[in-house]
Amino acid sequence: MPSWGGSKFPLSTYLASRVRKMMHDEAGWTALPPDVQEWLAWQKVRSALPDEHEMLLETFPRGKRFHMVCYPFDGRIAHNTLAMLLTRRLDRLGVGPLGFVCNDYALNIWSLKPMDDLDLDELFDQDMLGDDLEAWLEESFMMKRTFKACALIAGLIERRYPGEEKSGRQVTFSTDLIYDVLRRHQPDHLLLRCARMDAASGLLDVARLGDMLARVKGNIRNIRLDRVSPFAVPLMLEIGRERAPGDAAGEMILAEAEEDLIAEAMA
Amino acid sequence: MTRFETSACGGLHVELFGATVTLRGSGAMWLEVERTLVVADLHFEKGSSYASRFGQMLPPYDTRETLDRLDREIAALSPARLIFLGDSFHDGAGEDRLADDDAERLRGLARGRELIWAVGNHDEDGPRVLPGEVIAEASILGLTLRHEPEAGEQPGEVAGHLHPAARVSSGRGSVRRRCFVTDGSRLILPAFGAYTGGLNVLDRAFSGLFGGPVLAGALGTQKVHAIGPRSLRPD
Repeated sequence: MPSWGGSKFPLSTYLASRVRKMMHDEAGWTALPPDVQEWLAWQKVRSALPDEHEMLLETFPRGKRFHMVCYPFDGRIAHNTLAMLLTRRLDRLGVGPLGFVCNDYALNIWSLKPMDDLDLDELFDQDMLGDDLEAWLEESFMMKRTFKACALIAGLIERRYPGEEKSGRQVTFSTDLIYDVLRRHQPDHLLLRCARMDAASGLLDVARLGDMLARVKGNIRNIRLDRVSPFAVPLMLEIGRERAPGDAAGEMILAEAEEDLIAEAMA
Repeated sequence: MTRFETSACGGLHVELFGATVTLRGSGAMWLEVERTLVVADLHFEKGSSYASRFGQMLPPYDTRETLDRLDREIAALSPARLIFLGDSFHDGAGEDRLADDDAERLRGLARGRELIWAVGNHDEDGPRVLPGEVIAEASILGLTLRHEPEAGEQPGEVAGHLHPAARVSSGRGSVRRRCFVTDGSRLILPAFGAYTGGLNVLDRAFSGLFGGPVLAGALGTQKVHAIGPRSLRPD
């Protein structure tokens, strides 16, 4: 569902296709503002400009993390859906996805381990849509946040503000705990149904993702970089980062800490 | 430094004041030689307690969720003795609010084994009707089991009450889990109940309890991870 987000707007399928064409058509760049021309030129030098039919996918390390940025130009909600499904697959592959962020043009996933040597055709295969998206969504932090919003409206919990005195009723109670218990013992609870409906309209666009996966099949242009690309910079600054659902990354962090302790003991 | 070793079941064997104890991934402590399972801070009927005291209608399934967790441990270990280490009920009237089927499951826990309720600050009198022995503290294998940790260093004490949780950060990401915490001399168990929160082990409530460097046993999905003080972070 399109919504106005200040300077951001979802691209229609046609507009997205035209944007890809404009980027690739260097002769037409002169019509663009000088700073955009410069940005595109640097992108070409440092990474690559995808042609109209390609989806660019960059992998690079940054800080202690590894990033995978891809540019489908299919709108935030379709990207969100894709990011959820990809992080699930990456979790299973043991890459340790930590989080993701999407805007209307691209999505960025970061992980504990490098993502340079993945089989991208397999990773982006359309059979992804057969993955249990709903089960995955139910485990996600986005869903827990959606549930929290429903629980607040229902009066199940009260919002607390920083510095506010704690009244008897306003005992902080983690909605995550409530959510998990409800899901196991009353999965058809009204608040869970509300949260699922909110998520279905606000977080997922499966139809557009299906079109996109069909379009990029066999057309993924993978560029391995040693640092962030000009195109990826806006994503590094994008707000609305999500933690990746799944346990693998958390377990890896704990396992590393345990190795540190053993190394310390042996030293 | 506390001696530890990962067990086949993913738990952590720890040397505690001369005894070997197993810290289980569920948050329970297992004393193999005594076939004794110890769980702390179950907080049964916390949901209904909030409903009756504050009118906050939390889903009333926390007791059966906690019982499900207990059942899994009992199926895995067949303990001869089960010890609830205090705050088993969230309040003194919790026992009266139990659903019939939950009460029956609790009675079932006492069949064929010894059930012991150590009292806590939330349930000072222990249960009145449910079977089992109500005690203030127990002594097993040279260890003293009680709800609330006593001030200062208490060699051999096993307690709950504080609901310890560990935040571990690698600089690339961080994770917060319920945890055991020990220095090899005393041990604090994590809260076992479904609606219980956690207090960071770096909180001042833990200061002064441990003489040596602490070892946190963070509850992972497959195993208990041994975490040293250098990896622990405040919230």
